[in-house]
Amino acid sequence: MTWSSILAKDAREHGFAVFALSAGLLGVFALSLARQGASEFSMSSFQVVYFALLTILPLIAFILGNRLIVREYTGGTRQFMESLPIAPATPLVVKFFSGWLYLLAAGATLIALAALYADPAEYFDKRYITLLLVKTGAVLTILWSIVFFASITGKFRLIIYLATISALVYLVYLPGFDESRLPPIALMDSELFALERSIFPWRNLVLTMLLAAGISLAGFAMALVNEGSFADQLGKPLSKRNLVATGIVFIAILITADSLREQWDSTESDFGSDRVLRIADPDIQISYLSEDHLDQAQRALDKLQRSLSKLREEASLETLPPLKVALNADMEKRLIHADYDQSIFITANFSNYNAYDHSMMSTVALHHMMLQLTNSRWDYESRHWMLDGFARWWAEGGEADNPHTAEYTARALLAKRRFKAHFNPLLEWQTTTEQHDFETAFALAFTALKYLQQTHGTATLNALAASYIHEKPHTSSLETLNTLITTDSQRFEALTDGSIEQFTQNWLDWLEQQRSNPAVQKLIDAVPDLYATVESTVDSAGVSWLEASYSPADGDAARADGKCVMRYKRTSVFDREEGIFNKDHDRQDCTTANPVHRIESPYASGDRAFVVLEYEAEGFNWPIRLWAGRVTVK
Amino acid sequence: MKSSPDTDPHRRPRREPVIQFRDVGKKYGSLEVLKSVSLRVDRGEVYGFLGRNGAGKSTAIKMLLGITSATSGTIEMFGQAISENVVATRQRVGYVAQEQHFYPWMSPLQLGKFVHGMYPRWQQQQYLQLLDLFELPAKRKIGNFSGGMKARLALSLAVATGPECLILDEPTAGMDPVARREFLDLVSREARQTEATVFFSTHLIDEIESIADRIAIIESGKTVYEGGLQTLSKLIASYSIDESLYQAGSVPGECVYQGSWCLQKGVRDGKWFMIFEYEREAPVDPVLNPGWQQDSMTLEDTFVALVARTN
Repeated sequence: MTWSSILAKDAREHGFAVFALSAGLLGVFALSLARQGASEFSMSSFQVVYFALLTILPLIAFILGNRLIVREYTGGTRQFMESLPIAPATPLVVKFFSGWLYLLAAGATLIALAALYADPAEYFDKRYITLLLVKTGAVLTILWSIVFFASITGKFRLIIYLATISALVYLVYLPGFDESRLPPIALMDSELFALERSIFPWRNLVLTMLLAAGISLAGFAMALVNEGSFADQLGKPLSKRNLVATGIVFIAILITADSLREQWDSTESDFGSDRVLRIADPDIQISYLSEDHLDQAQRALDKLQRSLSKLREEASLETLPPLKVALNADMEKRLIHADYDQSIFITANFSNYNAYDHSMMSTVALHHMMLQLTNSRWDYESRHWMLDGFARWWAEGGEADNPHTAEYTARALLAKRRFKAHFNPLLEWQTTTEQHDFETAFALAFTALKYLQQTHGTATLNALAASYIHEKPHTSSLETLNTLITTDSQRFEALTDGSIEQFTQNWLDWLEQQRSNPAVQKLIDAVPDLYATVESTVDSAGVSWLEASYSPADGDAARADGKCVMRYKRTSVFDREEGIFNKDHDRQDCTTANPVHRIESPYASGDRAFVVLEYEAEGFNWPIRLWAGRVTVK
Repeated sequence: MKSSPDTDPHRRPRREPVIQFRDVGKKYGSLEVLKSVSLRVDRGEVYGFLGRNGAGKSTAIKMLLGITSATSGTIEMFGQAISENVVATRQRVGYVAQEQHFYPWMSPLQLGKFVHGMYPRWQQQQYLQLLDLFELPAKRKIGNFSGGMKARLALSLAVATGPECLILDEPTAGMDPVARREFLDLVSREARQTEATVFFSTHLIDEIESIADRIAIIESGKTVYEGGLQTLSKLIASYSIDESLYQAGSVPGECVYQGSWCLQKGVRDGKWFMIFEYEREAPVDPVLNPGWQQDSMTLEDTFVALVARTN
């Protein structure tokens, strides 16, 4: 039979390569399974299938398309095939289906392996496996259809791939467009892919398959139209004229995309309402919703004006980027959303702010302003504590002793209780921020800068800030190399004549000495030293629960009073720095009779939740965090 | 188109047509590759298909194999339109292309295994014998073969399919003279032994001269001659006179103008020459004016003269 002859020929021609690809795929997949199983925060083994769909399977599809189709079209053997007594479409049909079925088999094998390797506690049934198979099949089908179509375009295939990737990037950055709802991207949702266990996304599946069918048919049409002469032309190498034309088109796309981006940027925040407070120097605009909010808006404006002026003065800056603040009365009071590009844009619910809250909003504004001024170069972890510290420092007017200093110091000392041995809270800033929350991180950084000012003077403090704010972008690889060699620790040492490690130790010792301040000690005494734990449990009825318990860290049982709050949210399968401002929380009287918090899990088995436990202490404007971590729901 | 009567002495009795082009044209967009090609190849004939490079020979052969279709006119093979059943028609045809695009990783044995299922009359024994006869290593990779070896392999493959018609598209292009001669001998022998119809495309007239029964010449997409080789040589005659004796307006003789027209005239090698094409036959031993003589013409001279007429 003709098709079997062609299939046997393709198997002989590409068999070894396919075997090697399969072995590579299984090897990488097995390693990934083993690695995720051994990691501290393990995730569902089926999540590894998702990673394979994003990484190695597209690579395999690309190689397969190149071998099965591109070789035939560019190598001239298609002309031999054309002269044989077979229908023109037969070789292409065989190649399409053999590549497609191989990918489907590979996907199914990965799912089977993931099921075999799954944690015994991980529950899955036939419906879930079927759901995974169907979603994986649909994603692989659209992937293969794109590779098939691009392969037929011969010399233009790389351009097609680039165009596809560019289109995806365009969609991702298109303002007001939620690409995550667009099939097939919707099927590849990072959390829903492996964690959705029951609902079949029929609409997305059908649309994905229709799209794949359309792309595949376009590929067949292109190969067979005009007796294959079009594909014949595409199979020839790119001429110089083709290259020049492609280059011109590519540059035109880049210019157009850049213009579009500028348009989007320029229209992102247009305050056209009457209810806007404005000052020109520094350039600040604050929009509010009704006259009831005017006083608060004015207070916010005054505070921001003072903070920004301080930044400009201390950092010797001539101008600052514009700042726009919008009131959103529906937001959580604790949440301040900030973004920046040409200007800084802040959305917050400042309708009920006190002086402390206004100071926090100014801190966030300054933080993002400094990121904008340094083109995000100040965002690296080894220097981030200084960014946060200076934001808080100038938000308080550059005054070491201000109405909130005692609270900052007490917060820093309470956080210090939970520092592990050999932990450097300044250099491991992401961990510090997540474990102790942004508020405490700002307080820690503030006290570190206060100590630096006390020991080295305001001039050193400002020189340190200026060294980052006025750092010029590199113009050569040598400069980049020099910066890489000159670490933040070396830069700090050059300005302060001491290592960052020694500085950290001295600062922590100095912090301990601040307990002698009665105002600080009073605040610390208001917070019991509690040891907190969170776990996921399943009761006899099969219901999942999230439970949190407290016990006295030093046998201080009598101090477990006040209000404890458990906040939670579903989190990514990846460990990344988390903040938590959502409304999901459980507020209880704090006792050591366990568990204090017990809520029915709003998340499915296998989901991961980011959970924090907080203590609402008198004298503190914001709660004190007692515990933060991730829990896999049983 | 000039069509000659069957006057060749070794011409076989006319049989049913295997290939028939009727006023076939082919356009690629605004480019007209074939304008009007008409020809007929009878069963058992060795048919030469002559034309300069770019005359449209390969396009005509692609249409014959059903790879591409005609824009106008009709093409029949084995008595039916080629488009009616391309696959079945190709199963009755052995094809040797101008350039061989075999899979380089295959050996001749693997190639035979690949194609044999596609041809109902595949003759494995004959294929192996031909490989042996053509001194082709059956287990060596085709990628290591020379151009001549690949052409011989293509012929072996084409013959082993048990074809009723062999179509050869400039198969000797790129071969050295020895290899070319060997190949032509093989074609001639296979054609006689198997009694297959052979449709041989080339731009080299001497290749045709040695094996073809009849020929067609196409030029600029049109058939300019179809008929026997000897007939063609009788239709054209060339006369010349020493350039020093030539006087403006002088002619070879009155008789050479009867039923003829001048194809070409000019100076070549110190002689003034005139070439005539005759409606029937050039006069034998014509009475010529003083100083004029009749030149002998090779088939190649005749071909060049005919092509020159078209242009």
